Amino acid sequence: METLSDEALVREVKAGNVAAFEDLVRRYQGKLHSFVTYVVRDHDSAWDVVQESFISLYKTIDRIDSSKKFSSYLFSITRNHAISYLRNRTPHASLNEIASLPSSELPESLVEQNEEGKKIEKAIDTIDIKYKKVISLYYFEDLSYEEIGKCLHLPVNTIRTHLRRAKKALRRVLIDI
Amino acid sequence: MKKRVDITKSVMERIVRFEERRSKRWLTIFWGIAILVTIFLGGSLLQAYIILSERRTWDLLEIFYQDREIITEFWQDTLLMFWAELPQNTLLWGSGFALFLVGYWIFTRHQRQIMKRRLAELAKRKNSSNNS
Repeated sequence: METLSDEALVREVKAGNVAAFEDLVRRYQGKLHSFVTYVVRDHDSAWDVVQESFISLYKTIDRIDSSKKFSSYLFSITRNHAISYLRNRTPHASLNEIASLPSSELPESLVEQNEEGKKIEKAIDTIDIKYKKVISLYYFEDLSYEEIGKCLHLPVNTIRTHLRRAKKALRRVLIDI
Repeated sequence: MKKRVDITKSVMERIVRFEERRSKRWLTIFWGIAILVTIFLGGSLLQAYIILSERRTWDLLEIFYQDREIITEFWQDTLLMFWAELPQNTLLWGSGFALFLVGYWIFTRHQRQIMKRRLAELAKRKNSSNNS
């Protein structure tokens, strides 16, 4: 099976040969990992992204256009997964967590952050309710755009727009405070 | 030295779980539709039989147990009468269901073969992982 071309292996998988997929995984895991590591800059997370990409590939393998090059398709799936991973990564500090910690245990910098957090919370209270919802879900609940979209029954692009406008409004309010 | 990672096993375990669920769902839907249409087909045929029995239409066919001369003289009239007595609406539905079943069986043949192969492979994988 190792000598078969990618396209032949894909045809085998489509015909019900699950083992052929194992060869595709073996053949591409290293290349994909190098590619994803370059994008996400984290060795272990890159393996998770690669694994998710293979699962997505399997789920959509029946829709692969055999006239196109398989590796391009696989790399585009992986690139999309890497981008979603970067988007869903939670780089923000949860203000709730900071607010709930007793200030005696906090280093000075965190106390300052806590005060900042309270200021931000106050500012959030003053903005439009629809923006408030989005900003709370994004920053306090650490939800991704997709998850917020599902929660509020809104398209992802609308969430993105709401968040941008919310940040603008917050900036204005915070300058005033 | 850099640690060599191989995710093949974990990917394949997830694929097998996914494929088991997907194949089972497909087979459930396939057999569900097939059984339902067969029930409708059986129902139509049974209804037609009951109607023919109530009208005593079956008795017409007894002519074919008679002497050869009687059969020769009356078989055409008898069959025409039998045809006229048939509950055509019910039989039309029955034919529709029968046609659907045949078409369904033919059109899903390729997919059934794929499913059969997939399920055989999954069973083989399961057995080998249980043994090891």
